This record gives sequence, structure tokens and C-alpha cells, in this order.
Amino acid sequence: MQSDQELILQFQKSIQREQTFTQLVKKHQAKVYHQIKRMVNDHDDADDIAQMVWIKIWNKLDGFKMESEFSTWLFRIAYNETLNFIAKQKRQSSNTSSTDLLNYENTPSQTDAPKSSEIQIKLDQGIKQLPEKQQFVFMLRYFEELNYEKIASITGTTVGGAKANYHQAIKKLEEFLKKN
Amino acid sequence: MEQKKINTTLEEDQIMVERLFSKEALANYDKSASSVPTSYFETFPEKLQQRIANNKPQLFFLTPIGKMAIAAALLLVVASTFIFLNKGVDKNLELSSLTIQDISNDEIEAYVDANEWMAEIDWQSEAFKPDTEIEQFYKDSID
Repeated sequence: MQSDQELILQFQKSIQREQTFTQLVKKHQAKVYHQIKRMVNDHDDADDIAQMVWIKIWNKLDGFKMESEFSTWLFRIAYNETLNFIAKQKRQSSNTSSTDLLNYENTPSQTDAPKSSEIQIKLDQGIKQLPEKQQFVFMLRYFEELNYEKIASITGTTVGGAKANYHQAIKKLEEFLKKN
Repeated sequence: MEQKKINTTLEEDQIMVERLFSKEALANYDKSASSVPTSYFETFPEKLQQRIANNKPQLFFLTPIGKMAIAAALLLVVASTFIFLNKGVDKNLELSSLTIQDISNDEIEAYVDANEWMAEIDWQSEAFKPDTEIEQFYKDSID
């Protein structure tokens, strides 16, 4: 399998652009989709955001200078698109009635995985009450097992900031469990 | 103490979470993110290429909104030209159709008074010019 760098160079030299791009998509699509879905919990939304992310990559790949890893750049775009989507959704939901909002907030989870235990529900609720940036950092660290340097590049913060975000997230989850 | 906490390894960071929630709960949470409709990833690249093809930037004047904007602008230019020209014709018509009978005596008297007064000013200003100019003035008047 060709490296990201080789594929990007091929794309930039306009050698079979569509096929080259498709190879890049196939290599990274699952990780991007999963990260987005962890944040939005809905397949259609995650699919839509993932498509927007890849369209941006298509449009900007010619100018990509490979100063950072492709996957870091990809996750950064995914991060921005996801946060934009969530912000838009929040604006729209603020227009709905307070009852609707209450019901939405009280919904334990919108994920389609089976909820086997009470702790599962608490985990869902606990993660949802975190600020989006902390959620994103938490998931990149715990589930994607990324190092803090990469997380910092993705979220546009310092390494110290990324570490602080992760530890703040854990602290808030702990407090949430104590309260509930 | 705080610094020690921050310099944790990945394993230590994960253990911190697993002290709060069971590994099973965390794995289940991630399972929901991993679950996708059948053959989603197989069809995604093709679906994406189609969307990219449809998403290619269009020139503004070729888009439906662009076409409508251009049509509206043209219509506005034509309409305003028509209105402007029509107004001009009306004024000319009004002036050419005006006769002396349409003007009241008062208006005529006022006009004459005003022009007499103006003529007087002209006369006075000429009277104060040097002699040579006055002579020329008289010559011109006689001619």
C-alpha cells in the first residue's frame, strides 16, 4: 500500500486524481467517521459531516505542503467541521420549545448500541455534559490513543492545553458520577 | 503534584477513565461509534466522488440565482431608461403646447418688471465703464 505522502504527491501531479483520492479516502475514512460519530451520535449526521470533511480535503489537497502528517490535517478539518455542526445544531435547538429541549437533554443516549447497564447510561450522559472540545480531546486520547502533540495540532492548542483538557474531562466525569 | 498528574502516559490516562467506568461500558460506547450500515465504507468513496462532481464551483452568473439577478438588473435598466425618456418627452410637449393665453397677466407683468430691473442694472454697469468702452457701446447700439 502506498504511503499518504506518495498518494498526495500523485494527486498534486494530477496523476489519476480520482483514483488516488479514493485510495486516501479508503485508508482513513473509518477513523474519521468513528471520531465524528462519537461526537454527534447519529449515522446520517456523521455521514454528512464526513462527506463535508472529504470535500474540503479534495479542494485543499493541492495546497497541502506536508508540513504535518496528513492524518493530523484530516482530523483537524474533521474537528472543525464537527464543532461547526454542533454549534449550528445548538442554534437550531435553541429555537425549539423548552419542552422539546428538556426531552432532548434527558434522552440518555442517541447511540444505537445496546445499553447493558446503568454505568453505560451514566457514561453516555457524562460524556455529553462535557464541553465539545474536552469531549473531542477525551475521545482522541482514550479511543484513538493519540499522543498529546498530535491532539494539540488537531485541536489548535498547546500540548499543555491538550493535557489539561483531558484531565479536566476526567475530573468532570468523576464529579458527574458523584452527583448522580 | 499537578505537574506529575499532567505528565501521564497513555496507559495511565486510560486507567484513570477505567477507574470511573468499566472497560466494558467504554468498549460498548465505542462500539456504537463503530457500528455502520452494511457496506457503508464500501460505497462511501463512490458516493463522495459523485458529491464532489456535483459540488464543483459554478460561475455565479451561471447559477439560477445569478441568472435571475442578471435578468432583474437588465429589467431595471430598461425600465428606468424608459421612464426617464418618457418624462423628458412630456416636459417638451408641455412647453411647446404652452401659448401666451395660458399665462396670466400677473405672471407676465411680474416677468417684465423683473427684466426691466435687470436691464437697468445692465445699463448702469455699462455707464461706469471707461469712455472708450462707452463709445463702442453706443456704436454697437446704433448698429
